[in-house]
Amino acid sequence: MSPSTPDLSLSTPLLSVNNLSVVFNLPFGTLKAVDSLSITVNRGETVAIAGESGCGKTVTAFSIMRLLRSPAEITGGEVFFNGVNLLAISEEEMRKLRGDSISMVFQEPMTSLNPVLKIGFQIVEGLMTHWTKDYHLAEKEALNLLSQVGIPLAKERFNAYPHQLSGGMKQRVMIAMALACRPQLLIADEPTTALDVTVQAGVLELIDRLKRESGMSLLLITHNLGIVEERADRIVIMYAGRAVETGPTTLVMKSPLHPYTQGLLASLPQNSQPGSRLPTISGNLASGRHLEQGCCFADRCLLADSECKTDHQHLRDMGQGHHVACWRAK
Amino acid sequence: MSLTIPTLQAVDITKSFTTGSTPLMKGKTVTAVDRINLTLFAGETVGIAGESGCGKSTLAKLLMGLTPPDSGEILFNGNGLSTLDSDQRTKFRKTVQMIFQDPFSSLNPRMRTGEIIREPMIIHKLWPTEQQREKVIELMAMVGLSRGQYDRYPHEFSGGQRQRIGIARALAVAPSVVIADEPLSALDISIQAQIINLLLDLQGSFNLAYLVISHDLSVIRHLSNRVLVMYLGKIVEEAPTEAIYSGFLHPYTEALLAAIPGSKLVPGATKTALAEEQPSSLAIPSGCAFHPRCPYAQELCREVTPPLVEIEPGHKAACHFSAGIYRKDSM
Repeated sequence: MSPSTPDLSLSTPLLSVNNLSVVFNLPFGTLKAVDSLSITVNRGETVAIAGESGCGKTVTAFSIMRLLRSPAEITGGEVFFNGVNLLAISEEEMRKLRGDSISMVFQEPMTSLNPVLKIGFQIVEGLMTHWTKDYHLAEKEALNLLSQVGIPLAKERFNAYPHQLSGGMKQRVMIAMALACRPQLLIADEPTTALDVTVQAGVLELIDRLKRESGMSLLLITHNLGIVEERADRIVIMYAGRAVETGPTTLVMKSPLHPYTQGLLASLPQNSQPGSRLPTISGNLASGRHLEQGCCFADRCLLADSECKTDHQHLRDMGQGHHVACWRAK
Repeated sequence: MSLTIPTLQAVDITKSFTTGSTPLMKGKTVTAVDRINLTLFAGETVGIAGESGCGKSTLAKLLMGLTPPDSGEILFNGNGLSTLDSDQRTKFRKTVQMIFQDPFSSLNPRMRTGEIIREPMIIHKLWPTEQQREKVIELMAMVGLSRGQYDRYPHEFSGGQRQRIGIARALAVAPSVVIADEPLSALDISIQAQIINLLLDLQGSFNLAYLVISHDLSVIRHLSNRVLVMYLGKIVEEAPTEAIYSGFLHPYTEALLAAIPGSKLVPGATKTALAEEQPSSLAIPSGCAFHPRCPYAQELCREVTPPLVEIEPGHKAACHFSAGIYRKDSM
């Protein structure tokens, strides 16, 4: 199939990332940020990518959106969206998709909005790029979007500058912008990390409601396992650029199979007796430069033996859609 | 309990700030901390929970003596801070130390790790100069850093390791009180667990009193003996930790607990997303400050500020209807 004839049959996944590899070309060598990562997102589904900082979650999101700049470089793999390989199309074609069929909500609402433009105009801008050339129509739709995302007094706020809004309100504006053109896929990169807990609950509920109403898919990137448990249908746990465990959220959370996932869940304070010492994962996150061979988690793993240090681990099917990259997992 | 004097005590302290005062504009007053009482005994941990803008960091600054309260008094071993002479004040500063939120901006990037940890010893003239280096290396070992890292610069360390440097610096002068302002929020989950363990171990070894400020109620529960919940400058609930989690008595506490995602922490807290966001502290609502967001609010709440009263032994709440909402069985 040529890249310009999209495959729109409903049975194929909306997004399918195959063996994506991304490196950073740094003065002291090449750093593998993402290593042969595969993810699929079906229509209407919420898939979460979870992991600690430096594991490659944001780089993955930026690769899908083709927002990576030097020194980052995509060295392999494909990103199929509606059957079109996004990595093979021209920048011009990509611009038509970005903000239209695929949108992104960024981590920091404080720095992601343009401080010198009124928020209303920032929403209108996207609408006029993709949807209509009629300013008045776009303005009407922007007002409609502002009230949809729960901004009170939308008419007055339309002319507000970002600094006049609270963090939660700015994130709502970001969501309104991302959803303006009714995307089929929303990528939310830590959408609530900068927000207070009670505000966080409201923003997550909003994304969920809009998702149900429009039937879009959501790729949710977060380090917060509580959010994953509550919102995601499926989960991908990343460690050092690789997917170490994937599967239906309830299954992975209830019976994690990879030693890293197990360690991560055990180290949460709510899973221990208050005041007791918490079980920890020994050591620190391996830097991407040392991943030439063997399992990426071998240095920190209690179960590791000499084979783990030399044999590359691939995701294995454990049944019920549960995959794990550890040969000792049963 | 009544026989021992608290190490640190705040009696009815208030602090307000004036903002935006220019020749053309009259400044507005923000009351960041409003008549707060707090006691901290040796060896115990008190947790302060609340969202941004509730005044928890101002409270920390007041307790550190970094800024004087407008009214009320801070007592250190029973003596008022404002009455201390300069020698006693120096001793106070040595006894109360702080761990900061951001391990990246709270270390001087141009100083070597060992020197960062040694600096408080120099200021307080703690050991003979030739012994200080050995003492620093002892401290570094205690927090899990090696002797070889003495001459490294902060940028050579990860976030978790930097937080360890910050903790070693706080402990360098053998304090009895450590105030930790969001000590974990900049760290990853697996590193959070390591730092929590370190804090628990150090408390055991040195009988430290901790004041832990955090928005994360699962961290507060794990570390604290008692919890204070703050909302817009006021304490709305205060109780022994387990009492708060098993039987909260204020609707704001309920909302905070319910908002923890994926929480199995508190089965009783109802998941009601709060209708509005926290009002600005420039315009604190009349009556009970929480009433515009409270699902249980009634006419009385709009007009009368509820006092913080003891509802059960050791468990206080500032809500007119605590008993009616949460203790139906006893009514």
